[in-house]
Amino acid sequence: MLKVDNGTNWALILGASSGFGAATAKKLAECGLNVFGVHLDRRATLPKVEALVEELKSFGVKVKYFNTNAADDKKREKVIREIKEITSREGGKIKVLMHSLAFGTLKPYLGERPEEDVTRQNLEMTVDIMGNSLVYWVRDVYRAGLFHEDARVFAMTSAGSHRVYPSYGPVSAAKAVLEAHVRQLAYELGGKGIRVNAIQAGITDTPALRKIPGHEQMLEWARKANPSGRLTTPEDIANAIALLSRPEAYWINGAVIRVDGGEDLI
Amino acid sequence: MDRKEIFEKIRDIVVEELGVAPEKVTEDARFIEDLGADSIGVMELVMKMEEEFDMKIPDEDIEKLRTVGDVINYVLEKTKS
Repeated sequence: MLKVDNGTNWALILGASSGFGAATAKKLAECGLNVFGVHLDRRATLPKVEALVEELKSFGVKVKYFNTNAADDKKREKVIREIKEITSREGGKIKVLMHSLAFGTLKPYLGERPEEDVTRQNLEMTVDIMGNSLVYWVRDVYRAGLFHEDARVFAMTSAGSHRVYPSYGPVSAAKAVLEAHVRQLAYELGGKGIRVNAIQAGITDTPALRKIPGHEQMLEWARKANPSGRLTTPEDIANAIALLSRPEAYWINGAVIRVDGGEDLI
Repeated sequence: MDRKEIFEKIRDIVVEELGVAPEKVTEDARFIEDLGADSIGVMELVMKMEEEFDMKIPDEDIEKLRTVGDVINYVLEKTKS
């Protein structure tokens, strides 16, 4: 089995309760990393999160999930303070930081009526949560001295950063911003042992995708078009992240890595 | 819990989560238009209210809860036994 750590160090996963974040939490726990997860769940979905946490613990690693808004400055500072306390008590550093926050406005820029048009608040919120928040987390984890000497940052992007889908405009913009931040962070942190890359997943049936109006057509297209003959799964992404978290992947920096079975070639 | 107690709890949550002045939180105040909540702000308010009033608020009900007064009525309705 693939090993990333021996149960000393940690992964910090933003957006850790479903989709890519949850699958990656499981894979990295299996590979020997303790897991910090940040998620935002209401009562209806909390039982699923509790079950996930138990599953992670069954791999024999330590797990701490925070149910809070990862895009809020005060809440981020509080989580980082708690992480600092836990790691200074129990040891270990953050070896993997994954940004998989999917919370944004999905609507056309021009609606059927003027009152349905995208608003400044819609655009700014989406770009802040799904794009800019990467910078604040990476900076604060770095400033708190929490990164391992050979660390990896992964940010989840999509073909939407350079392609158009109906109602996806605000998220498209956020993905383009996210990729720019990945390049800049890779440039500023590469020399400090922190490699920053974007993972471009193919179309995957996740709770976040199901919120996109017209997702049925996206899924239908990808099932037919993907050269590897099926949709991407969260586990495909988790496997790639586990591989890229291995010490041998240290020279990959500032890249957008497609993990999509070749879908974006089409 | 009576109307006044529920109002005060909601006001405290709104002040804490949205950083608005307490006097702006009235029964008529709309969360998005008057109190400046964006959609993640609404999500956080709902989480806090579920916790405070020990209830589940389904997605389809959230859109109906536009004002502070709407939430007071909702809580009164759900907790009457």
